[in-house]
Amino acid sequence: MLDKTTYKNLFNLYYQALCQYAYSITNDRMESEDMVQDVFVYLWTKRDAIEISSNPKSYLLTSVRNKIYENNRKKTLIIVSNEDDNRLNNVAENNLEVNFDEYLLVDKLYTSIRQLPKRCSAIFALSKIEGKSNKDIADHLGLSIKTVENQMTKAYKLLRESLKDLI
Amino acid sequence: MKMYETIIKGFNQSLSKEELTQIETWKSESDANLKTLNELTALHKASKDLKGYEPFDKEAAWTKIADKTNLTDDAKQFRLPNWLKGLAAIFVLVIASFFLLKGQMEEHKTYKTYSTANVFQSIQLIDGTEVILDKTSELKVIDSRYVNLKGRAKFHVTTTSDKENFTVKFNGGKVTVLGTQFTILATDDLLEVSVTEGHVRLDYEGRSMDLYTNDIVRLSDTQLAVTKDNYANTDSWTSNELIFKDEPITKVLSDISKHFKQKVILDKSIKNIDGCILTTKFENPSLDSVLKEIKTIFNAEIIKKDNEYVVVSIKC
Repeated sequence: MLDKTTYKNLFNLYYQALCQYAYSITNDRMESEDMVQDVFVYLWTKRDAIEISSNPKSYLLTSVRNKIYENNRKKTLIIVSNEDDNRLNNVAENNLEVNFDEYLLVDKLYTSIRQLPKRCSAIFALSKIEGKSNKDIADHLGLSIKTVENQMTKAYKLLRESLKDLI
Repeated sequence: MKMYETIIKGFNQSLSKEELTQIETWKSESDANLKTLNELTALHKASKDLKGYEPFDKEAAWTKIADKTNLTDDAKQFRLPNWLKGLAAIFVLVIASFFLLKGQMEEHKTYKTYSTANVFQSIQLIDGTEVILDKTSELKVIDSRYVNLKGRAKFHVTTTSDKENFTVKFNGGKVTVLGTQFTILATDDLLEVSVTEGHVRLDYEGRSMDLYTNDIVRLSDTQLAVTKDNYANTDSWTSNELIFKDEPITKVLSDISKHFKQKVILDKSIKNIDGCILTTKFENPSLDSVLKEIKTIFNAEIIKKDNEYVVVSIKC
């Protein structure tokens, strides 16, 4: 039976990516969060009856997906529901879990950037999250472009190590 | 390391023929090299999705889930002996005081937290957005267009070339804008968003509304009320002056509450307040001095009840 530690670990591991996945379908952040939270609450309250140890990721993903279907059916705006259902079906055709793994990777990457050495982390974040060029970063931080390039290389190397299970 | 540099350089710009040949040769030398190249490419592909990435609030979500499932963290369940609780409390106070007195920017890896104690702080974010952070407030910069606020701050948001939204998240809601000037007061007891210029979108506990220049929205009980309220005390916390000109007592108490981020209310039993009008000016006021003045002018009795000051009797 699911214990509290495993439950919290599942939450930590999958919550963010499940929300991003739901958001990609619903385009509503609050609704996405509510649905994912409902799935986790249901999992805990029914933990005696639910066996998820073999593939928790698949269980959670399917539950969120069903929740989106369920919510769409409840909506009065049929057109919107159909659009969302179409988006869901398209995702299904393109392999649901592969898509979900991309959300997991982006979430882990976002978290891992913060584990990098301070300067390395700041430069990588400016480059990738804020989309700044190496020259802009160099100007902003008062560094040479070469230093920025070296730090980016270092960041890639460290991130590759920390994310090797996902890439 | 040299090959890493070349590969990563290739993610951002075209490589020379010679560099491409070097990579091809290196790649074919071993399976490990091929694997490295594939992993770096996957990493680069994922990193492209980071632009504009907006994480969900996992901490708040866990709190909600823990509430609904009656789960509490082990740390909360663990019971310390009383003497150790006392010692822990002193330790926490010392550490907290240090950071509060320091009242300065605290770095958390890539994002930053600004917290203020007794003075307000002027902050410029990386995108040029200017923020005035009130006393005893906290601004957590998640990225240049996404911040979390506890307390009060005035924002002058710059518009970016790609028209990226600027989001201020606070307890229970968020404000989203392109470029504009506005002030948010968000504490456990008070919420007010006032727009000096432009247009903002407020999302609060499932409700959503658009606000325009001079609009002020306040949380009263559980209702959000919008007014066009161009009054003198909107920015009293920056000027440290409270000005009242023929203002009814309800408005006076509301302004005092916001200025000091401390709820001061009329007791519900008080009905006849039509004649309770105030005209005065407080310069560099303290809450005590203002309440004392109210007591004197209106022969009022004010008591502290839980976390609020309540006017229990008043003569107009």
